[in-house]
Amino acid sequence: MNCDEMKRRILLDSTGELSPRESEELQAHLATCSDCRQTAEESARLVSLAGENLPAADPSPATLAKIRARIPEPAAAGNVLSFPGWPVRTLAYAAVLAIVAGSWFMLRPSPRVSGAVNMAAIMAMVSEDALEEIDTLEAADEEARLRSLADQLLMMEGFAEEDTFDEDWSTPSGEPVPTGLRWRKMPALPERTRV
Amino acid sequence: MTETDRELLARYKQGDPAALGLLVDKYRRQLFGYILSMTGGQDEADEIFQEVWYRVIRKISLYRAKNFRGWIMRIAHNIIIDRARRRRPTVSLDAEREDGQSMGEMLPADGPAPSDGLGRTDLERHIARAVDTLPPEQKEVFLLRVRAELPFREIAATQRVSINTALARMQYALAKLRPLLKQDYEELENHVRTPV
Repeated sequence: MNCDEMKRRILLDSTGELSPRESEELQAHLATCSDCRQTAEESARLVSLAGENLPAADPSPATLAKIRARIPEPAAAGNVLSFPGWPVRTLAYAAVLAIVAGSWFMLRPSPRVSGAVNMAAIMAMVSEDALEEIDTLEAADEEARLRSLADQLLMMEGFAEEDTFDEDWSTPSGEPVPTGLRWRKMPALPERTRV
Repeated sequence: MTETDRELLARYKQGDPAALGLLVDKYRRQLFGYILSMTGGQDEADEIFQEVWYRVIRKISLYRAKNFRGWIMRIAHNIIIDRARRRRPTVSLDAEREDGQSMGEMLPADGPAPSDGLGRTDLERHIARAVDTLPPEQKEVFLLRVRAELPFREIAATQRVSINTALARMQYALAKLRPLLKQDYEELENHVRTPV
């Protein structure tokens, strides 16, 4: 295990995100590596210092009062929306599928268009625009469903799934490829036949 | 025993509006602290905080996931990004002046002014100023970790990046803050060790 990986684990260990095995490996490494040990100590000190001494902050009483006044009775909460929950979700799904399908037809690659640009464009549509109105963490489930749909579209475009995520791989604009999208363009795509 | 978020949401959906008020109180400081550190001041932070909860109230009937704290932080993140985009200057922040400094470096840091009249100590102001020197993405990762106390996988989800990217941003942030704050934490440690 190299020190770069261990320095990542130091951060993950501070939030309890390491598995027991990973944590043991980290502790074993820290016992022998003074550089990583110093990094771990300084990181913990900095986080603690900032956490205890960043200026305390509270919203104004007026803001809190406005929020509390806006909380409806739960029976009325459903009326906050024009429709009950499930038709809104169904309509949202339908809208997203229409956007993704439309973008697929618009973004079918020509030989001059790079796969990474198409993929980034599709994912941008799926991740940003399509999900903009689905502003709930339920979006994490829906995002997974949409990514699955995007994966299927990409498969149709000749992309193959990678088993590992290459951190250095980014879109032409320099943005890292979002988590969950692990595609590599297959070499030697067949030429498209103009219909 | 403190109720969990899921229990409070269940209570709310079963007919107790006070349960949602308890959630507002529970995350008040974490959420507002994050927003305040990312924005220009109390007024804007109040507006964004309010807007977060208005969106929560609007969408609560659709909410089914398990991580309420991550949800509200994501909402806050989206609102902050939207507002920053609307404020974007027409001159590129990367454009260089004749003396070699970029325009971005000339802009004042975000966050409360040093003498903001809020009774903050020198240490608090110094730390806030140090954090303000971070690039926006690193600053946000740092604040989501320290203020909002989010784990890195949630920070990554909030910023819509890989967890490796989120970790790298945190490492860069700590590397930049270390020399700026080293004296502060050494002084604090000496103060603790020195008998009164």
